[in-house]
Amino acid sequence: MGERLELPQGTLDLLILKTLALEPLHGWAVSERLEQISRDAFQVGQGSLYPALHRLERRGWIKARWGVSDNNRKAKYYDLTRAGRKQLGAEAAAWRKLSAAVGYVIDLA
Amino acid sequence: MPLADLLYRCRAIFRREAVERELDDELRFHADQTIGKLMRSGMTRQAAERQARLTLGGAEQAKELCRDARGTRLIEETWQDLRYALRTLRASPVFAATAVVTLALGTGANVVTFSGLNTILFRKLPVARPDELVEVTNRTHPPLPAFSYPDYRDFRDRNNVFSALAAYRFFPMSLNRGGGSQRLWGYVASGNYFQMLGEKAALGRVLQPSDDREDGANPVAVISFGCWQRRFGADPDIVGRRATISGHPYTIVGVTSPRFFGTEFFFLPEVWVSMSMVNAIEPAARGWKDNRGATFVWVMGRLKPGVVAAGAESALRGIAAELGREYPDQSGGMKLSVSPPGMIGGSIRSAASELAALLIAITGLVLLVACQGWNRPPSPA
Repeated sequence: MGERLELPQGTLDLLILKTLALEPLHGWAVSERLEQISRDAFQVGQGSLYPALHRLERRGWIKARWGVSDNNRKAKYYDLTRAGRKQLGAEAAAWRKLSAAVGYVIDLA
Repeated sequence: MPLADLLYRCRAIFRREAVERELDDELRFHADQTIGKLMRSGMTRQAAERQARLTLGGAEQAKELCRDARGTRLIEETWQDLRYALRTLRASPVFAATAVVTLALGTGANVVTFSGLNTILFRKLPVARPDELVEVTNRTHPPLPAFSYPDYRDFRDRNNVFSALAAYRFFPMSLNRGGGSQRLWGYVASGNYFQMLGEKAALGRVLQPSDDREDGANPVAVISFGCWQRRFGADPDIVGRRATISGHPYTIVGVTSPRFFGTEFFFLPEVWVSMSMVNAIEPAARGWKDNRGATFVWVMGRLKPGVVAAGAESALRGIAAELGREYPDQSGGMKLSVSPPGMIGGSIRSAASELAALLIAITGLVLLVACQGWNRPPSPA
């Protein structure tokens, strides 16, 4: 296990939207997927994951429905809505701009 | 608020139990998945459960954070409190009755206080365009807004902010009719008093400037509508009748309109005579009208259109400064202000405000006592 990063405020929402853009997932799968694709850099506890999911659902960016998991259990799946897809585009663009700018400043100094 | 948000919150409030159950299921599924994963990596179930608890953090804390995320926490908790309160009340009827009575008393007391406050602080005189009227107060002589008559006359003649500036004074008088003597309150008013107020008579006429022109020359009186009804039996031929007021014969020339009660909220004057008769009304203080040191009259004016109270105040202060230079001994150092009429200048208004604040504090305490009761329900027997 490598060094774990604290996620900056607001970036968890972006990462969740990105994860769900590929396919509908339940909460646990979202956290697994985030750990995998970040190569274990992020570990997202349930204390931040589920509030974020519910907040995104409230804003209408993701939609929840009950389904059946691989191991045949009832699980709550989240799917990106049309508004969520738009939001993901906007947030990703903003993030790229921000990180490029921050990177530029740091390299410059 | 977007529609999705509204629907989400409505569901969180009205289907609270379902939403909570789903949250339970969701978090339990998460824990079970974590345990399953740990067991697949070779842990015993016990070790895996312990490890899951450690890495996941408290499920209760996660739930609290999720409830925050719903944005309905305030409503949910209020609803819970309400239900708790209802349960408590049903469990102990005596306590419930006490609480209800205390709250009723507290609410009632508040209503009374506020309606009193309304009368004292916000009521207007029932005359034409009452917002234009101001009472001029001289704070050199607290607590009464008193001026000397000569000073009043100079303020009246030198200002350009009032369409009319009147002086008056109230005084106990006696009314003699057919042998009996009755005590009543009367106003001694300058000839322009009724003009300034824009008041017309219900019968006959009101006082007019000509009544006030020459000292002692016009012994005429105007009586209030109530006085006419009670003391004169609503005599239809009242105008022109003679009456003895404070030992001096007068002719009654008119009756005021029924809603008119003078210019103070605290007095119900029944007679108005002109300032020219003041030596007959107050023989003991004979001659004060010409004495610049005798601060006996109250002053009220109607602002000219477009003049605001602050403008009138500064104009009056300019005149007061002139008078202070001309008559330093009697008129020096006047501290003038203007205020809405009816409350004997600002003096009673501020005292009344303080009283009202005290009453509100007391009634507030009554309500607090009631609330204290809610917070400490008796333990069930």
